[in-house]
Amino acid sequence: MALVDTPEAHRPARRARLDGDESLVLGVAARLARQLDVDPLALRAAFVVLTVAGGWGAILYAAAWATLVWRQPDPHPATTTTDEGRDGRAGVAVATVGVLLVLRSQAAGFQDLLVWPAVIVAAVVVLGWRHLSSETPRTQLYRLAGGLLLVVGGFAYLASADLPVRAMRDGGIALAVVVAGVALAFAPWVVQLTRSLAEERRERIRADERAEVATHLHDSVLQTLTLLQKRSDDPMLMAALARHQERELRQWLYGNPTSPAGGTFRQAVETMVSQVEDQHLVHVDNVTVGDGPIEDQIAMVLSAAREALVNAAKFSGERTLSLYAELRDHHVELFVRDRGRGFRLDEVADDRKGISDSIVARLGRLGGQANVRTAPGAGTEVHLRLELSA
Amino acid sequence: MNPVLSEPRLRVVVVDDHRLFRAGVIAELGDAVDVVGEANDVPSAIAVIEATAPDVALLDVHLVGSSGREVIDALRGSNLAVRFLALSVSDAQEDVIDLVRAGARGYVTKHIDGADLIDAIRRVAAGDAVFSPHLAGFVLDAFTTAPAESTPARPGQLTPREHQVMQYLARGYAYKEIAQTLKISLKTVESHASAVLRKLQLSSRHHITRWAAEHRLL
Repeated sequence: MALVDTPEAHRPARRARLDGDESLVLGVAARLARQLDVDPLALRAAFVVLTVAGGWGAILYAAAWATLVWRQPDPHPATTTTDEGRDGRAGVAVATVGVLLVLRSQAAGFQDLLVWPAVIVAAVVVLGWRHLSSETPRTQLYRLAGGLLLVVGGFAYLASADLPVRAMRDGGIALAVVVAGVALAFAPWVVQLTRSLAEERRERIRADERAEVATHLHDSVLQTLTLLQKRSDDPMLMAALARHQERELRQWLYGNPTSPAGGTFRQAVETMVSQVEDQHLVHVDNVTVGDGPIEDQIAMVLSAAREALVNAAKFSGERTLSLYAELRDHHVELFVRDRGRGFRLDEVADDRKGISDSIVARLGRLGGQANVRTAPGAGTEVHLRLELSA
Repeated sequence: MNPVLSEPRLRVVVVDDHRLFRAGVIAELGDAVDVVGEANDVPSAIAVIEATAPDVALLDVHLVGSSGREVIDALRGSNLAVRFLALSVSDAQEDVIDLVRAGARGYVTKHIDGADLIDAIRRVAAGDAVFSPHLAGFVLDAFTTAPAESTPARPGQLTPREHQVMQYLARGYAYKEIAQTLKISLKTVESHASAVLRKLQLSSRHHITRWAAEHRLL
């Protein structure tokens, strides 16, 4: 507001000037605009148009001045507008007044009745340019809706007025031109509005995702890290906790959240591995090939494999085991391997042999094969295979 | 086991975006190799590898905001003889296969212990392929149809022997153990592994992409 330091601003005695730094004539429009929180230019345009259209503008202006003059002006004006917007609005106002004057003097059918819709449309244009970028999308939307309502109202007024056909046609053309102008004036604004709405939505989605990640990390990883610090005297437990957390995080990062209810072969193997790892504090290097739904036969082979894993965890003396699980169209095959101490298969009354026997017997009942390859000091490998009747 | 003991130590660069992990790897490698550089992202990795011309670069599959693949792609045109060994905690198959297809000579998970990692580095430096059990599993998964025993393998398919070697690797067998079990020489096992790596790199992108897509759907 470059006009702040004009002499008028420092002379409160001259009460005729209501608003020193914004006023053009007597400051009525500026003051009124501040009271109503609308653009002074819109009011000025309205006053001018009403004056031109029948003299009511001047009367209203005088009345407003008479009432407003008794109120003290706000020393700290809250509303500020950019000079750029001001120029745009001034242009629209001048053009509107000019067009109205020309139409009034030249067009035969242009009566004072038509001035009203024109004024309304002009007001819409002015309001549309106001605060092009300083408002939130939501209030801009309200404003847009209001503007459209005004345009529709203008048309409704025009339609309800009892006009001769010719005047109606001319007025229609004039209005069409003005509406086209409105559309042009609003186009950049609508584009900007759409863009900022989309941006707002993207931002919200991003925020939601961040919140979800933060929640998950807090519930799982941070909790585990705290536990790890508390139990740092127990390396086995630490390893188990870390393994458990790793598995959970991996599942969360790469897993398929919409798994079928019965689960797949891959998921069943992973579940089995995680249970053995947690219960027996070992690491199972799990390689799974192929996938498919779990059938009863396959589930039974898996439970035999689980027994082999538990067996290896208990007796091999190794903390790292290997599991290879393969599901093809016509067979399921699993290898459980450790590089531990191994044992002699022909030794009697050996716990491991008993378990091996039970594994072998189980596969035998299913119609599959189970082989145990082992020797003292050479580790153990249990091989399970079942042909599937497809 | 190691035929190059008398030769100068291998020069290695470690590329990983976690400082702690780099420190851990370097500590595990100890004196066995000469760690000549470290990097934590794609541009610094390219710069360090160009400046030091190492024998082997340990390359994390995932670098912040990008992939280790970009490092391989950027250095493909250069005259450097560096070989890449992919290293990751991630088991996302597509990413690992992608890196191997870009030119990495092998893939090991970060669970690997120091001795195995050193062995893998030596193997890669010698031009061999390194298949961790996981990578072998991915390969078996990618070439889904197991080859018939009698018919000759079509291009892009594994021969029965290659399939067998891959399966042993997936079961956690070391190259030497496979050689003993199958009663073939270590060299033969290595050449099978290299052949599979070549097939993986040459097989049509379409085939692998389709596999990856199907795999995700399951």
